Order: sequence, then structure tokens, then C-alpha cells
Amino acid sequence: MAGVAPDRPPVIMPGFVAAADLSAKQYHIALYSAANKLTVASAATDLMVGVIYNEPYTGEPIELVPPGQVCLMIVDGNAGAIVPGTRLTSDASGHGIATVTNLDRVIAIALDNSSAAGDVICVALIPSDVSL
Amino acid sequence: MPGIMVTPPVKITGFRAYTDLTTYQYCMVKYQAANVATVASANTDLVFGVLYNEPYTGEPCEIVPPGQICLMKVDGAAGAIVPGTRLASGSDGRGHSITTNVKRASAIALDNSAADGDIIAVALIPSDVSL
Repeated sequence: MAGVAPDRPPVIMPGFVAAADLSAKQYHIALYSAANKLTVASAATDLMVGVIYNEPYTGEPIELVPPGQVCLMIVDGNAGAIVPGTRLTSDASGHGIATVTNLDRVIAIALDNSSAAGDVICVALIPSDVSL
Repeated sequence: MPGIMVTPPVKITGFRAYTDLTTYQYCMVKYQAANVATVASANTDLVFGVLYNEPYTGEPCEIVPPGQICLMKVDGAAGAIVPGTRLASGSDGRGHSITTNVKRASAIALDNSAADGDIIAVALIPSDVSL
């Protein structure tokens, strides 16, 4: 994990439960699944809703960090260099990856560096509907 | 300083000042190197926040990231700034109004400015919006 961090915890939004076993998905990008249910994002065109902050099993409550917050995210800097300011979308595993592709949905702005898969870095979440 | 106030924004830590930034409080900053930030210097710079303290070279920076409401030093003499005006960096990290394509707007003004050096409330946005 790199060294950049927010000076306070992010707002956590309750009300959703895990649509699948998300116990290994802390800091992954979340995707709407069904009413009050979330799963992990799996594509750059997904309508992402935030970041999962806990490790829920199927049916357990999710601690979701919504857009507008500064939080941690697991990323893959090996798929494309990430520096502060880089726009991030989701890969197939719910990890943040750099994007400059038109019509990808950007969910966050990186606030730290990454050049390796599995890094957990500080990001600023934004509404997931920004074309490039 | 105009009158619109803001509550304390979220700040990130972990960056150090590339140069003496003691006179750049409330100015826009950009990435310089790993864990090193410097003041933005062009309206095409990829800005990732506003400096909130006054660090000397190598000292820790307090940076307000995109998505926050915060204060910014602006130059309203270079072009009138009113609430809603898109702001990009000038050569000194100060917010300047922009209406030109392919510039990087990094904030939306929330107050007026007609003078250089005003410190006003702004909403920081991802630094990649062309007009």
C-alpha cells in the first residue's frame, strides 16, 4: 500500500447486502445487482456505484463508500501506469485500472501512484458516468 | 477575500513539496514524482488538488482532492469569475476563468472575483473537462 491517505474516514452508506460472497472483495469497485443488492464490477462500461469497504458474505450488509468521497481502492497499476490525476475504471475483477477510452465509465481519480496489480491506493470517487 | 465560506474539506497526506511552496497556499497542485507535488503552471496541467498549507521544499503537503468544496486563490482580473465559472490553473497555480477548448478545468467557482489574489470558495472537479 502506498503512502497517500485521507485525513478522515469516508462516509459509509448502509442499506445494501452482498449478492454473492464478497468476503475477499474489500476495496473493490461495487456494481448494482438487484434491489438493495450489490456485487463486484466486472467491466469498464459498468455503472459503478462506489467501493466496498468491508468483507461481507452472501446476504450480509455491505459498507459502501459512495461517489464524492475520498477512500482506498484496490488497483492494477500493471495494466497501465497510475499517477495522481489518472482516471480509473473497473477491470474484470473490480480493480481500478487507468482508462483513456471513449465511453468507459470513470469511477475515480487516482491520488497516488501504482505500477503493480493489487496495490491499495487513495482515490477520489466521482459519479460513474463520464465519457472521455 | 469574498464572503462565501466553506466547512473544512477532506485533505490527503503523503505528498511532499517539490520546491518551496510557502507562498502557494490555496493554489492548484500537480503531480511531480512519486509522493511529490508541485504547483500547477498551465491551464493544460492535470491538477489533482489544492494546496492547503505552506510547506518548504521536502515538507509534507496538505492537499484537498477533487470532489471537495474548498478555498482557492484566483485571478479575477484575468477574466471575471462568478459562481459557475470554470477555473483552470494560471502560470502560478491560481484559478483563472476559461472558455477555451482543450483546457483542463479543475474547479467551479462558487463566489465572485475581479482581482488577482482573491481567495474564494470553489468546488473541485476532475481535472479533465474540456469546454
